[in-house]
Amino acid sequence: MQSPQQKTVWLERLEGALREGSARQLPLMADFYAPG
Amino acid sequence: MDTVTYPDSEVRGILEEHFVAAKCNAAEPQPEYQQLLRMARPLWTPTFLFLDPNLAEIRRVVGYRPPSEFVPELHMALGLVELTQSRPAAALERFRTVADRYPQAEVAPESLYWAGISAFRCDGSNKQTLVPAWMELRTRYPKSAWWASASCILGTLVPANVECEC
Repeated sequence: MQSPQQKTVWLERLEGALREGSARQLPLMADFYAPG
Repeated sequence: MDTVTYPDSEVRGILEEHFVAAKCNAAEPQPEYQQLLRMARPLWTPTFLFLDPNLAEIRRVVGYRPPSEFVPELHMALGLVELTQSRPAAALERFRTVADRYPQAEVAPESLYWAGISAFRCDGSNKQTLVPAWMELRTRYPKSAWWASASCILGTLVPANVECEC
């Protein structure tokens, strides 16, 4: 089970993904999941 | 994934060093995820979408993967990113990593297929540069679909040694 803290980390990373990916030329890995 | 794969130290290390990683609840996406979800249109969960730094899709993986399979998938994605960024030598290194360190992985035959293409891109013109990796593909994974695909081209390069399966 994912902790709330982990979710926050993932979410924060997504919010900055475009900027970070563009600046550092990093690829994005998006995990589409279903809870439960 | 959260229980086994993401906590794995090797998985975590590669993700943190080489990717921007994001998770999207496909059933109830947060607003900032909705554009990504519309673009990805996953048919099943989990779906892992790999986008290059320009947000072009380069690879899609469907279904749970244990660390022993997910780590090679990450290297594969990085190799494909290197190819899209016109860095074939770096791509070749990634694909060789999969072939040499994870020979039992499901993507190992594919890694040799792309290793051949990367070697060709390094040279730029000589199709003979495809031969070493694809001959290795034939030797190590003769029943794979990737060898079946490679053999059609390789048969024109070394016809005396290779049976074309197409």
